[in-house]
Amino acid sequence: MSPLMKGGVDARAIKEGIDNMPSGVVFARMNGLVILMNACMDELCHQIFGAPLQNARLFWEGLSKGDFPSGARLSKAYTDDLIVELGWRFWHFRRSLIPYQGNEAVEIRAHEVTELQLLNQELEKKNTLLERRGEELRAYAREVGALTVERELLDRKADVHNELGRLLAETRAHLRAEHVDETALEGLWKRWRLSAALVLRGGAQEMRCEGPCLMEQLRQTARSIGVELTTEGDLPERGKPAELLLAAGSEALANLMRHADGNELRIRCQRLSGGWSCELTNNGKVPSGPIVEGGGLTSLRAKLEAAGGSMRVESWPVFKLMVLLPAE
Amino acid sequence: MHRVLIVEDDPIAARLFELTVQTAGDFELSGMLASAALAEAWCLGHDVDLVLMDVVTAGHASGLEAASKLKHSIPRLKVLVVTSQPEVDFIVRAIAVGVDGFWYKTATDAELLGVMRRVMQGERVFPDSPPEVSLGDAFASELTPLEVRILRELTTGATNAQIARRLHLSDRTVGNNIQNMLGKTGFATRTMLAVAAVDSGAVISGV
Repeated sequence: MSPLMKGGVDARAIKEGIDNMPSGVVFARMNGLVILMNACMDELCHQIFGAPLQNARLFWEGLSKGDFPSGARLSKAYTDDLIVELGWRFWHFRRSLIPYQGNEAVEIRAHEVTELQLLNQELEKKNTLLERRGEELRAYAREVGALTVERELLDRKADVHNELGRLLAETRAHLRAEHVDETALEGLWKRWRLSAALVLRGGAQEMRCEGPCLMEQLRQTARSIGVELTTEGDLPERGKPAELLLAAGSEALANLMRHADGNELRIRCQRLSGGWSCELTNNGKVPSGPIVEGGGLTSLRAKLEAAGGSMRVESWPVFKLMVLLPAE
Repeated sequence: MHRVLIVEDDPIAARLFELTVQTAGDFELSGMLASAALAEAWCLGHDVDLVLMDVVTAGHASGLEAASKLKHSIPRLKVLVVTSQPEVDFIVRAIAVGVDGFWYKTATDAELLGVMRRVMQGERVFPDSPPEVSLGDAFASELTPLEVRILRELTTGATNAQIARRLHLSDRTVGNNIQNMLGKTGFATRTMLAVAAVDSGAVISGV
């Protein structure tokens, strides 16, 4: 006699007990034949399929397909977990295997998760909104960055002109004074020369260096230290890809100076659908072993990966720095 | 005679620095670059004693990052960082990477030459604090170092989870710190806080 029977608990009592559960449960053999099922699960099957639950395996397959005659909807599906929307309520069905009479049996449970599901939907909406706000903020920061640069330039021009105004007033005051202070005049004269030089910059660069100007600066820097920079292919000319290429080129040039003792740096780029693929090589000494990424290469890698690009370094048969630059 | 490399992408500021160096009898110009990314290569190939470098340079290259590389590759080199940005963290970060001086740009060169000479004599020259920047009801200097780091990431539009990942923190820590900043500044939302931070220049991302 089973311990349950000894305690006065019979099959009817067990059935009555599980029928009172607010959640659904069905136990079945591996071929789907039902061993035990409660009223809640049977009722759910009626509501979803319009028929009683007669085979647990077919029941689970039907749930997984999501094709319900009742208008219920399969909200989420994983291997052994399904969320079904039934009317305005959400039910989580979970399938698992349990030991039964020396073999295995299938257990399918159903819990109502309406409140949790509604909270998740709310969270998804908020996350979508947050993502959109984030995108707007990123665009705003870029705009403000560009505007700040322009504002700085204008502020500096205004400062120079204000200084000219002050110089005019001070010079007038000194010229009208009864006694000439030579030291003060000398100071004024220096300030006049400086302000005139700033105002009359002549051929000096008016605009900030961006895009193609950056690659030209790399070329000129290389040339000034005896390294000839050659470029080949389709190089990015503006925005983040151009900035990243400058960073890679500068690092390659510094490494050439530090370790390789060469006088040629080559950058070859190819435009891809998702950005650029660039290869940086030199004519310096071949590395004696695998490259250990130090501060410069590590920092370059971090920049590239943060922007959605990547980097690979080869040391054999020649040193090669390969970078994938993201599209603008 | 001390040889100076100027790294500055603002054409007027660059010209001012150039004139300052050229009119001083004890300094001469080694070169002028717009981007800090090129500073190390230049200094490895030329004879330079002092680098006068902006923090935010062409190509979004960070002067602080370049300064760190320079102090590592060429320890004897003096680095004087200059900026017009009131970013709350720049001085602390500059000290941490080992720069020799820090100076806020003005229209005249009167102070600059003095600072350059003090740096070349071995003095470490730093202002006491950055300019005060208002952030709502608070000043940016009232934020803790961790709050500043989180605020910097916030201005990139990152979610709490993204910020947590970048800074190796938990989501909860990020959330709590953002709430603290909202409390200090009086802003109702993180977006308002981030916009104010960007507008005021209190934090600058990507540097």
